Amino acid sequence: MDPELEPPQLQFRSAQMGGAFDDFHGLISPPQVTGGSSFTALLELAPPQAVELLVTEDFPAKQPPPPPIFPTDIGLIHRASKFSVFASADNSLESNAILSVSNSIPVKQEELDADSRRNSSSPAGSDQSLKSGKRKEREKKLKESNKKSKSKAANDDGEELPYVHVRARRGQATDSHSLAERARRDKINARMKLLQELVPGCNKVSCHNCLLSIIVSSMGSNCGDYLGLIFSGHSKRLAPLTKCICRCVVQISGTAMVLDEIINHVQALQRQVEFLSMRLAAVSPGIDFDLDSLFTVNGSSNDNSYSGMFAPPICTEGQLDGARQLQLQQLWHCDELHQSVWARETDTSNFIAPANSLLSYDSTSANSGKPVAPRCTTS
Amino acid sequence: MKNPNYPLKKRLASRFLKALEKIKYNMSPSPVSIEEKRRRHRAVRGAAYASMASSVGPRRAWSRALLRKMRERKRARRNPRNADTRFGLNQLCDVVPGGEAMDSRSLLNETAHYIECLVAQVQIMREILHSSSSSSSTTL
Repeated sequence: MDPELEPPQLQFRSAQMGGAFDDFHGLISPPQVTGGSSFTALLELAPPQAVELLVTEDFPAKQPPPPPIFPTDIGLIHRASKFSVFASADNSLESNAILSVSNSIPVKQEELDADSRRNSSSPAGSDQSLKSGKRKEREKKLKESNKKSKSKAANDDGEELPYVHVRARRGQATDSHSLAERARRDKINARMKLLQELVPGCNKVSCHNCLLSIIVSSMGSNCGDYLGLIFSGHSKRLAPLTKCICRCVVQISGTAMVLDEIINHVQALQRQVEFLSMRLAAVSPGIDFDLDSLFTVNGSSNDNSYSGMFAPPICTEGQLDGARQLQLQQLWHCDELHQSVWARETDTSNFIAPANSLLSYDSTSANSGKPVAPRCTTS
Repeated sequence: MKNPNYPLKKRLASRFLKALEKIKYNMSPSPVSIEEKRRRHRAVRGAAYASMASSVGPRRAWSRALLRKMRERKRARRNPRNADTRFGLNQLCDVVPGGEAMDSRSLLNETAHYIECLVAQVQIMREILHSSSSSSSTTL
């Protein structure tokens, strides 16, 4: 039982830094529920299970609870199995089965994955940089968590896991103290990954709002009522889940990474505004913008089809010169899929012209009764 | 986006469209030089942030800061300078406009609202682009 458990666990541990990150996000195949709002669907599934996952943090002293009834969402199963794997060796049978199930699921690259990757704080470069970034975050978090010792965190620190399978990595000490420390750090990292997966995996603003409130509350003196005050202002549907998340973050107090996420998100948004304004400026000024009512209609319907509008539209060829367009397209591609360093001057032929997305948008606009004949007024 | 944002989007859309119309009206149909393009780009970007800030109004600290910057810029425009500070981006430094003067708690609240408005603005601009590009494609 245990030897079978070890290899997958090892895989998770050793690949934890870089590989598991991608693995993680790859396995978050959004459930095929309503349209594009995959995150809300995830959330609808998540609250009971995620609550259980998160609440069973201080399971060390107690007997580990029976594994919750997993939904058919593979991502959740995977996450839950990871948790049980990290925590104790008692859930080995179920977690082993679950691991085998989850490992056989092919990794899907969805927009969710792209979004999460885009929003991830670690550079989307090589795994090495990811690893080093993660290690730094870990150290930072460790120091932070040592500094802020709330009562619950102290409890967690004091309690030792009954029996944890921790295999020493290369070049690491194997005495009990460092092992326990590493186990604790891995626990923290697992939970932070869960957090990251929940939040940057979507691009719904409300999640970030709640995260910000979480951080605010964790930075503040005591959570308690302050939480209620904050969450009353935000979407109520997310409130129970985010309360658990908040507790989680409070215990972990790893706000550095989350703050990085937020900063990156803001910067990405600003970059998008920049690109869009550039393109808007390049568009011929003769087009009549008498489509105001149309936008409000489209706005409500396209709220969740964020991913649908990602593909670079190809119809501004007439207005832009070729090099500019390539540049813009490449920037567009970079921005939305990588969120990495963007080089304005590179004109690489990363030119993807998916016509289907444009056609789909045309169909949506046709459905909303858009006047096809534009009125081109020349100034 | 949650439902209370819907009026915000409408406000954003209307203001931004008006600003865009003004820009397009003032400028030549086809830009000839790089400098012209850059100026238009900056104008559109400024219009984006300005419409964001004005539609939110003085309710939020970041919008107040943005509006303040706009007024300063307007006054500075009387004496045109060479060093054109990038409106709203360099000064942010990872932080929301006007964030230097805020404590951490309110700063994060401001960031939350700022992110909301940014997302709405981005969506609107995307929709404008898509509709304009698709409309131009149908004429071709």
